[in-house]
Amino acid sequence: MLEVKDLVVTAGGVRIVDGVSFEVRPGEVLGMVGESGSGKTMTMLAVAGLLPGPARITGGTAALYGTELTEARLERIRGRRIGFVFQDPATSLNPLMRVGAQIAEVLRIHGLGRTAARRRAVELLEQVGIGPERARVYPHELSGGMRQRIVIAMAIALRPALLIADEPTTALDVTVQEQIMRVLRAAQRETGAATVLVSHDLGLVSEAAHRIAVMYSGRLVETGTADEVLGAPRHPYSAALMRSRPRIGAGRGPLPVIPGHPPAPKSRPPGCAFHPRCPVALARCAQEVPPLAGGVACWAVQDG
Amino acid sequence: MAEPLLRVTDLRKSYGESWAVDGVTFAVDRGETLAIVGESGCGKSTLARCVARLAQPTSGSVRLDGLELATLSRRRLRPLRPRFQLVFQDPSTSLNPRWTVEEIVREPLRLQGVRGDVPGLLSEVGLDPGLAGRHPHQLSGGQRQRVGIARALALSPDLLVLDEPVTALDVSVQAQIINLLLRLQEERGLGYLFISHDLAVVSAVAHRIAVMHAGRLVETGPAEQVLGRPSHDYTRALVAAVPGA
Amino acid sequence: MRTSVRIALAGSALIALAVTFGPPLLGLDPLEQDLPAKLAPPFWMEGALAGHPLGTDQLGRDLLARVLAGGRTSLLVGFAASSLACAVGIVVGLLAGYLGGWVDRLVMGLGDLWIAFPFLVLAIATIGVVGSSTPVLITLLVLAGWVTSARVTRAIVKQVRGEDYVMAAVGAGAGHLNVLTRHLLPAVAGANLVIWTFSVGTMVLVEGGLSFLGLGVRPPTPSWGTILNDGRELLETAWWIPLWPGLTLTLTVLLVNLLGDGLRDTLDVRTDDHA
Repeated sequence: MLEVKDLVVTAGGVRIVDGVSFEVRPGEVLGMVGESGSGKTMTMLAVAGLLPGPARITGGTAALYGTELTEARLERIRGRRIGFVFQDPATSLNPLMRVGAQIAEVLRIHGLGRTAARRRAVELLEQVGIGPERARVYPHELSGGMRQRIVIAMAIALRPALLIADEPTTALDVTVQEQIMRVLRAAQRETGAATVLVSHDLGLVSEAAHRIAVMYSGRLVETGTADEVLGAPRHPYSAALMRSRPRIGAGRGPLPVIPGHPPAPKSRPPGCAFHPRCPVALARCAQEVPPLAGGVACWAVQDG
Repeated sequence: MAEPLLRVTDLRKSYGESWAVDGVTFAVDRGETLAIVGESGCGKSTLARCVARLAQPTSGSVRLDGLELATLSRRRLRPLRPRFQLVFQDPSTSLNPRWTVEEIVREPLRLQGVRGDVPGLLSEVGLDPGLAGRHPHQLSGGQRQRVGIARALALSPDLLVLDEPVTALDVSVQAQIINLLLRLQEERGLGYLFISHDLAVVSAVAHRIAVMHAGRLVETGPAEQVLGRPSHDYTRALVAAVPGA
Repeated sequence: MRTSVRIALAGSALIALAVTFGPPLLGLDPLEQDLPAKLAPPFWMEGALAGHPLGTDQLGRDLLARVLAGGRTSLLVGFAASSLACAVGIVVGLLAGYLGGWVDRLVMGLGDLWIAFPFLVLAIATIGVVGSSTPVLITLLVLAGWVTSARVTRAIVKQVRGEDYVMAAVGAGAGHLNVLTRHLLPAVAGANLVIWTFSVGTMVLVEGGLSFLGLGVRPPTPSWGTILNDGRELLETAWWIPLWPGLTLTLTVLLVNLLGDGLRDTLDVRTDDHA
């Protein structure tokens, strides 16, 4: 189980993740949604100890089954207990290694013998729907979807306690997206890993996630079950975001939009970061940051 | 019957042995949006480039107001270029990173040797004319795409070829750009050839939809018909694959 | 800008100013012989002569004057050769990258051949036939140096010509010349500035080497290479003759490379052509 509490990530003096708290239980899929710059990826990179360059954790904690994921210990924990699936399968794989060997390598690093590793690699390939005869091909001989299956196989190879999938299907075609999500969900169920699915795609998240966390300008603004957040969003931002997405069947015509654009973390307004764009903002919203209470961080909801 | 704004007939484009576009026929009227949907590699981007004459079709016809474009040389095309313009997918690569917004939007005017109102164009696409001195990297993704649209409008075209114009954008920005495109179409009576892989996006903008698969159009019809009662198996698979639909 | 880059920039500028304006301002003549004053040691040694702070050579010529004037020749050859080599490289690279097809294959094939070609043999053969002189030297350096710039330029052009903003220009009616001058040339400028900077250092070094071998600048015109050559036979007795041009040559190349490194990081350009 993953417990993140008041996590703060700072880069260049700016809080790009500003006090984020959430939990993911074993076997549960948390959909982390938000637009670019909302801090959703940074949050998960921080949890995994993979923050780039100048960004670092300056507050809060993240614990996996009670083990604090401090940076010193991560080296050991990362590969074994956290599995990753990134957006672009092309860059996650070594182009010079046969795919079967890449999976086996992950297993061998963590102590499996040569034959056992090879056998397990074939099992993993089968698990993600790839025949054992494909173990000897190189990544470039595979389609994007096939490559992403390999990445998933590597991610679950060590039966991780936490699986992080960051935009796993964004680079893929629609029909392939569906297959990959099926593979990912099967893999997740089989390993029982606590899973965080980071995505900008609300439709995708709605089908795969049990619970959803919505981020805006580095903060968590709403959490709840997928049905709650997507069906009856309570935070004005989540609500506006749901309304603004085009849907098949809605017919041709203008979409309800949120005026303006999300603030960059360095020009985040005081109080609730959404208040300048919010239709129901109160005077208080411009002064105090609303806490996440009852699954929603909004004065208008909490006071009203 | 009056001649449509754009009529494409039996268009083909080959790369070596394979046909990226393999006999495509359709028409777009003034004020109308025809969406071409399909997955990557189906040939829709090649089709867009052939129509915008950034690529030379191997055979077939592209008529704008009855005027054949498919066979014209680069030189002959130049005076006709203002009538059809392209909007690109990724606003981070479609704007010269070394230029200012002003220079980018003015480029088509300069090339055609005509006057134009750059601040007016920026306002029309919802950009503060005060941003004219900025460089693309100083703008958000949505602002950049607005610059790309302003550039496409600079020469007052009749037809816009939009190649995945909102794919690279965030959900809330996507909605803003879709609305902008709808408004511009209404105000200017533009014909849109809207290339996209995203059926939900297409449903918000298209009057008619053509589904492209392996270089051919497998189904064409009014949007609600193609999305609601698809007749081709491939279309049905596409519609079924849309998450959350 | 980083401190090292500032130092490199200031140092290079100082050297350029000194060699350009030094001799006339100080009233020094690098060719004036004063045989009684020959082989005077530098100022801190016994037997040093007033008016010759860095000592004199075997013909009694003032070494300060010769090193400054020699630097002028060396830097002039370096600047001219690098500039011309880059200019040729840019034109060739633009054409190869933009036109593609057989032009590209021809030019790049030639480039590969060129890199494998023993340049020193070419230099010796050419000078053997037409004799040594500064213009011949510059021509040879340009012939040897254009390939780097051409390959990098071509690689960038190949990439940029397919960018959507170039497509947008074509879609608005831009002709070939327009695309080349407005979009492609500015795109290759940064990388070529870096190449040019590094190349000045290399060219100065190669000029030194060739002149030292008697294949470059012709005596009595001083260059760092010819002064080094003058001191070659007297290394044990008058070691200060090669010391000064050796020092200035090393310092110049070091500063110029430092500057190139800084520029490369600042402009964030790649100077290898393997995409």
